[in-house]
Amino acid sequence: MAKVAIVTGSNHGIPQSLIEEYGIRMIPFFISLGDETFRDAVDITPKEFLEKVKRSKLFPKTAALPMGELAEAYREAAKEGKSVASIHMSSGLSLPTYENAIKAKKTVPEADVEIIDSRLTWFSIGLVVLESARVAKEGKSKDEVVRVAKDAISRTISIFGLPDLEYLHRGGRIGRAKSLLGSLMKVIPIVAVRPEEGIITPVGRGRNIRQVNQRMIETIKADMERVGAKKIKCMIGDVGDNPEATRDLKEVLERNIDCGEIIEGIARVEIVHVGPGGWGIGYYLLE
Amino acid sequence: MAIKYCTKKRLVQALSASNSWLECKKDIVNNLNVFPVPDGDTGLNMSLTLQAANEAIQSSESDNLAQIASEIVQSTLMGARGCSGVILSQFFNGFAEGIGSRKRLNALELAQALRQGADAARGGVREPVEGTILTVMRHASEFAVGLAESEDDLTEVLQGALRAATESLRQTPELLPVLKDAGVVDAGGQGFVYMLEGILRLIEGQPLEEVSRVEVTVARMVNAWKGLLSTIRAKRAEEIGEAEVIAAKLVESWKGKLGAIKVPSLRSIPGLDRVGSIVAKTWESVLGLIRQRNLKDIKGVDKTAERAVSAWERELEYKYCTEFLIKGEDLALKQIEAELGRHGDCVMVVGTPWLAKVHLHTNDPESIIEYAYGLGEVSRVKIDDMDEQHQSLLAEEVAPAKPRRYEPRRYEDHQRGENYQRGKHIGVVAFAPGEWMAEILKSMGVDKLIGGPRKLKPSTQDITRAIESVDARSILALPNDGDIIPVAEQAAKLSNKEVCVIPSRTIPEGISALLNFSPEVSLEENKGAMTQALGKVKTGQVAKAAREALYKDLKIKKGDIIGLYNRKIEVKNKRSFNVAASDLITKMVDEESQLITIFYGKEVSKTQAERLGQQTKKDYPDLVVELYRGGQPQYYYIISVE
Repeated sequence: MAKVAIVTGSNHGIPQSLIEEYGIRMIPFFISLGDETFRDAVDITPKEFLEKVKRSKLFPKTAALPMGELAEAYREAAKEGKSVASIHMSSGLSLPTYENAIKAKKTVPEADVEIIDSRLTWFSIGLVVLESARVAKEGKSKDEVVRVAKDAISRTISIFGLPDLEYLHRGGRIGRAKSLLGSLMKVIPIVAVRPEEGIITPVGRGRNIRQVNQRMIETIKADMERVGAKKIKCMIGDVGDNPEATRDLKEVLERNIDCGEIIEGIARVEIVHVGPGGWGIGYYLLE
Repeated sequence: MAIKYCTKKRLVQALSASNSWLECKKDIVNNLNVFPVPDGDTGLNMSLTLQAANEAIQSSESDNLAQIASEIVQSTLMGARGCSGVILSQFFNGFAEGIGSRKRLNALELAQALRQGADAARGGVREPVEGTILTVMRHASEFAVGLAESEDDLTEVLQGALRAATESLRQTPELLPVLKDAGVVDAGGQGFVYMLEGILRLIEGQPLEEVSRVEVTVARMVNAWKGLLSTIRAKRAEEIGEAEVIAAKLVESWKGKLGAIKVPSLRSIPGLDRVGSIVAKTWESVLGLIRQRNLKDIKGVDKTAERAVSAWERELEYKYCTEFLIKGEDLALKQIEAELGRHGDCVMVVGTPWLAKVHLHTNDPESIIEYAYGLGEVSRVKIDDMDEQHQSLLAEEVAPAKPRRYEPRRYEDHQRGENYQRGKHIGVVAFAPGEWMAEILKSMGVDKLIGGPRKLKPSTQDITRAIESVDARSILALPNDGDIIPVAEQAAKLSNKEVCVIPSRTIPEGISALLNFSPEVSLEENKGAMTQALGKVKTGQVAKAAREALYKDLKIKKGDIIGLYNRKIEVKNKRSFNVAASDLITKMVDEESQLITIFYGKEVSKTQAERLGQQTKKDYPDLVVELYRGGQPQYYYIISVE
C-alpha cells in the first residue's frame, strides 16, 4: 500500500496507461485559444486542440496550475493517510505554478507535502515522475521518494526539435534560445532544458529531421561521457503531428546508444509552447 | 659596375621595383590558376600584399635597414590576402630575421637572408607541397647562396637566383600533377619570378611600367571638379568647344595626380560610396552636356556642379538606416522591394515567402513599419541615425543625431542590436561573397561579416578588424573559402583573443558548421563539432571558365560553363548554366542524400533559378530541394547536397 501520493501537473508526456498504472494524480493545466478555455486533456483531447491551434491565426496560451486544485489534491491525500510528493515543471519556465503549489500547501496544514521543483519539462519531468511513482508504489517513505526524485532530476535532460520557435517565443519561455530565431534558411532549431539551468537553452540547428536527431545523439553521447554513464533510459515523442520524427529518433537511438527503455510519450499542454511539428526526448543517465 | 652591398635605400628601391613589375604582370599570374574559374586571384593577392609593404616603406622615415625590414614584415602580415599573400608575409618574416641588425648586406648575407625567407615560408605552411612557390623560392635562394660563396657582385647573384627560379618554375608541372593536367606552371611561383625580375630590371635600367597609384578619394574628386569649373570660368569659355578642350587638357593633367582615370568611369574606383557616386553621375552628365553642346552658358554647368558638390557636403538624403523582419504568408519580395524603393534607397529585401528581412535608408521609418505591418508580423526592428556614421565623410560639422522617433507597437524586442547577449562569450565571424549571402549568414548566428572591398578577398587586417569588433572573448572564424583560410589563421595568431578558425572551404561547409554552433558549450567543443560538420556536406559550384583549359579529357574554352565538385571539374556545357548545374547535381547525389540546397548568384535571374529548382525537384522526387538567393558575384550556382 503506497504511503506517498504523486501529484503533478499535465506537463510530463506520460501516456495515460502509465498514469493509471501508477495512480499518479495529474492536475490539468488550463489551455486557451482565443476566447475558448479548456482543461488540458480533460475538456479536449490533445489531438483536437492541436487541430484547433493549426487552423487558427492566434497563438494558444496557458495559465499556472490552479492553487485550488492543488490544495484539493493535497487534502485528499491527507484523508487517505498519505504524504505527498508534488513534482512540478521548472520554476524557471513557470514560476507561478511552483508558487501556487507552495501556497496550496499552506492552506492544507494537515497534509505532509514536499514540493519539488523539477527544473525540467515534458519528457524529462515524465521520467522523474515515473521513477518517483515506481518507488512510491513499492511502499517507500516520503523521504525515500523525494530522494529518488531529486537524484533523478540531477541526471535527466531534455532536448527538443522545434520547427516553429515562435510558439516558445510567444509564450515568453524562449530563454537563451532567442539567438535561434529569425533564420533566413529553412532550419529546425534545437533546444535543451538542463536541470542546472531550468530554462530553455540553445543547442543548434538542423536542416531536417535526420540532422536534428543526429545532433541529439551527439549531445546525449557527450553527456554520457561527461558523467561516465554507459546506458540511458528515455522517453520520446512528438506533439502529435510528426510521427516521422519520433520514428526516426527511435531508429537513430537504437542504433547508437544503449537505451534500457524507450518509453513512447505524448504531448498535452506542451502543444502550446512547443508548437506544431515539435518533438523531443527526455533522457536519464544511468551508470 | 658591381653592386657590393644592399643598403636600406636599395632595399626600398628593390621592393618598389618588385611591386611595380608584379603589379603590371598580375593578370598573367591570375590566369595561371589551375581552375579556370573567375576567382583565380593569386596575382592580385600577391600584388596587393606586396603593395601593402611598398606603401609602408615609401612613407617610412626610418634610416635603418633592420627597421625597414621589420616594417615590411608588419605590413605584409596585416595586408596579406589569400594563400599566396600569407606565404609572402612569412617569406619576409624569415628574410627580416636573416637581416638581423645589420646595416647593410653583402652578397652572401643577402642570399642567406633570402634562404631564410624561403625556409620561413615553407615552415609557415601546414602541409608544404612541392611544385609551388615554396619550391621556386627554395631553388632560387639555394642557388644564390652557392653562387655568393665565390661571387660578391649582388647583380650576378640575383641574376643567378632568377635563372634558378625560372628553371624551377618550368619544372613545377613535373612535381605537381594538377599543374600538368591543366597545362600551366605554378601561379605563385610565377609571381615570385616576376618579383625577382622586377629587381633586375631596375638594376639594368629597364622600364617597369610604374603607375603611381594615388588613392582617389571623394574629396579629391570634388576638388578636381571645382578646379575644372573655376578654370572654365576663368577662361570665360563662350564657346563650348573651348570648354571641351579645357576639360580634356585638365583630365590629361589629372592623370598624373589621380592615376589613370578614364572619364567617365569614376564608378569603377574601389572605395566610392553612394554619395561619391552622385558626384560621379553628375560629372558624367556635365561632360555629356559639354560634349553634346547643349549648354548655352556656363551657368548651366555651374548648377549641375553645385548640386554635385552640395550633395556631397550636405547631410545624406535618407537619414535612417532601417531594418526589420516580416513574418507572413506569400510575401512578394520583389514587389515589397519596388514599393519601398519609392520611399527610400539602398533597399534590400531578402528571404523567403514566409520570412523576409528588410533593409533600407529612409526619412520616415514610421510609415515604412506601418506598411510592413500590413504584410505580416514585424519584429526585430532596428533604426540607426546615419548622420553619426556620415561624420567621418564630411569635413564640416553635422547636425546632432536626432532621437529615434519610432516605437514599434507590439513586441518588446525593438532594442538596438537586440541580438547582443550580455557577457557573450563566443562570437562568430565569417566571410560571405555578396550582401545576400551575408544576410543569410547573419541570420544563422554570425555576429560580424569579414569585410574588405567588394571584389577583393579579405586581408589579415580585414579579418582582424572583424574579430576585434565582436564583443566576445573567444571567436570562431569561418573563412568559407580555401584561399581565405591561411589569412584567417594568420589573423588568429595575431589576435589577443582566443580565436579558432574552422577551415570551411565553401559556403555550404560554412553553413553546415554554423548549424552545429552552440553558444552554450566551450570553444573546444564547438571546434570539434563544427569541424566535424564540414565533412557532412558536399559542395558543387557552377561558373564560367575565365580562360581556355585542358582538364583531363575535358577541353574547355573561355566562356564555357563548368561545374566543379570536390575541387575537380566534373561537367562542362557550352551554353546553359542550368544544364551544367543539373549535370553536376547528378554527380553529387547518392543513395544517402536527403537535401539539395541551391544558392543562385548575381548573374542568374530568379526565373532561371526557379526553373532549375523545378527541374531538380522532378529529377529527385524523394529529396527535398531548396532554392535561395545568394547573390554571389562569381558562381552562377553554389549547390550543397547532404
